Amino acid sequence: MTELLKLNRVSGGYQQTRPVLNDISFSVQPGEMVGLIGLNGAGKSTTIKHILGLMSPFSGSIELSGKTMADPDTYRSLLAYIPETPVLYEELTLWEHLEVTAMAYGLEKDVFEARAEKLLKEFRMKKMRKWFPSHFSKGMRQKVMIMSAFLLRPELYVADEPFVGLDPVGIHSFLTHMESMRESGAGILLSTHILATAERYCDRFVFLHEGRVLMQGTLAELQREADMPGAPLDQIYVAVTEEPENDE
Amino acid sequence: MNNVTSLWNRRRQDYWITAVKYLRLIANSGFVFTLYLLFLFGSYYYGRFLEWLPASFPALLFFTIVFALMLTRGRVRTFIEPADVVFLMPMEGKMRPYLKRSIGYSWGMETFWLALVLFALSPLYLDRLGSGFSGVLVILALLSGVKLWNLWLSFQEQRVQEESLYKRFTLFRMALNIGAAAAVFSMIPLWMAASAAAFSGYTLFVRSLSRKPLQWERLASIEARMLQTFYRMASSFTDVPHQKSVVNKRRFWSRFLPLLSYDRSRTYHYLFARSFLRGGDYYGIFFRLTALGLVFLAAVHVSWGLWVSAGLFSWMTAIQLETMKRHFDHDAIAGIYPVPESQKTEGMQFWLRFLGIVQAVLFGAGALIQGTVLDAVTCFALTLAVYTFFSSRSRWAAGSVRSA
Repeated sequence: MTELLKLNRVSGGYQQTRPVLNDISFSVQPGEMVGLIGLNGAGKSTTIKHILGLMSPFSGSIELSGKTMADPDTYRSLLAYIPETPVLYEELTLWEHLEVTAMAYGLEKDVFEARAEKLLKEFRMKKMRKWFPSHFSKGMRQKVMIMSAFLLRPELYVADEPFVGLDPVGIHSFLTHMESMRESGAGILLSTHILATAERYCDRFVFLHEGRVLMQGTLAELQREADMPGAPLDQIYVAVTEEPENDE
Repeated sequence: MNNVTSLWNRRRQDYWITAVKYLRLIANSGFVFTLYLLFLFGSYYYGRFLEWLPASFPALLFFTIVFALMLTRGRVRTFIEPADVVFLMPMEGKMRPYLKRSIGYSWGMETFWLALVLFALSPLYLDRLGSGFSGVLVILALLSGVKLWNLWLSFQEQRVQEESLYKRFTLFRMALNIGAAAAVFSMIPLWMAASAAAFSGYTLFVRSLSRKPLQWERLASIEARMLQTFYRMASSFTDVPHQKSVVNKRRFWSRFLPLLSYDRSRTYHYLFARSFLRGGDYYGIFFRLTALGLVFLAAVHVSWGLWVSAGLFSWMTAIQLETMKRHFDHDAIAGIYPVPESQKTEGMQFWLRFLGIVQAVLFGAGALIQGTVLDAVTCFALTLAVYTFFSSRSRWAAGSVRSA
């Protein structure tokens, strides 16, 4: 199977002498949801910044459908990003956020309108189409980011802690949407530390710890590797991240 | 008890330390010199203006309206911060000395503004209504008293939760102030007595509100707005880092936004149109300077004066609009759009040229009031030249830092 997103021995960070990421390799296949799991400060957000092309690796390579950041516009049009803290233009209405996103990614106008109407209805934001972000709650802001991403139907979704601040209906719509995107062949990289949800929805997991990949694989593979048959994801995670302390 | 007072003192002090820093920057920016020039010209034209002003000018009505507005405007400066909703709210019962100080402080500041406007208008007053300069001082004392009353009333009014009722109170107070200002400027004892009675009646009513709890969030937003006014003023002279810009919806102009075609290559045209209209203060700057330029063009008689006015005002406008190009530089979402960076420059240039043409047409038309067709054409061309210069200059290495 061809890989959609492929990180090959990536090292990177803000300072060459003190890399945050060390030798990271993993991949996301089409039609697959991969959970990027790690504590605060494990390097999840830095990994995502490298994938988005906001940072470039010191060594190693990142490929998305065979494209690299050498051609930034082609590369970036293949992915949609849902950031951890919603970033909105204070001077744009909800509808305008969707419109400008569609414009930047080159969506046809009628396609955009049809999709946007559907999304607004689904996320129960129809009434707020002319609202400005200053009237939005944290959850509504997050919904704007999520709708902007789904609008594009890209090959890869990168979502950084998308559940924070969402109401139950929002989480449900988000996950059902993600699943139908996955069925239609999109890849999803989901960074989170809500492990119960990750366990239910993700096909594979990448454990990130102190800038390194600690383990990766399906739940069954992780259970086998950690020698913890039948254990839930959070227990495995706690167990494997505790190991280094025992060594000392 | 004491620590509320010291908290208030510290906050006032902190504010003034920051304010003085900005005031010093403003003073050093040539503003004082401009003010001095304005004063010189102003005092000359003022005399001429008074001579020209027809005897039928309704001076009493004019003073009444100006000062009724001055009396109604302005809220109590409380220095309340958003976090106080959490941390100070439990001590609401002990806040009396804090709030008293706030009212006293605001009274001092508001009296200063009243005095400033009153003295600026005093030649007109003495010319039309006057009863000697001591009369002006009496009026100032009376107005200041009414102002204190207003501040106290407006502070109690904010305890009302319903926004619509709160606004109606302000309108009602405006009506009272029209009466008060008319009484003060006409010096008719009967009016004064009537106005005092009306105020007392309203006070009795408002007192019933003073048992209601404070509206902390409203107080914080009033404070934020007042602070914002200061920073916005300062930002016309210098960079103000923590200026959180207020978004104006601009419903009227927003209707024309869809005229811009939906096209991938126009992503930044789209964004800049909105940042110009609603974000920052670009729209305000453009309209204020254009209007001011037109006033100059209408007032100046000599040709070279017209040209200088057009050149100067278009320069001042363009140099401030130019800062808009950085508006999206630190935006993570715009940073990952799959559109080339050059689009940002194109979008910016498009609007700079568009606004340049609008201003050039207006300035050209303005020059026709006093000047010849040649003057109008010169003003038009000069304005366009200024904008062309700025828009070609804006081939800056736009957002070469693709920062997160």
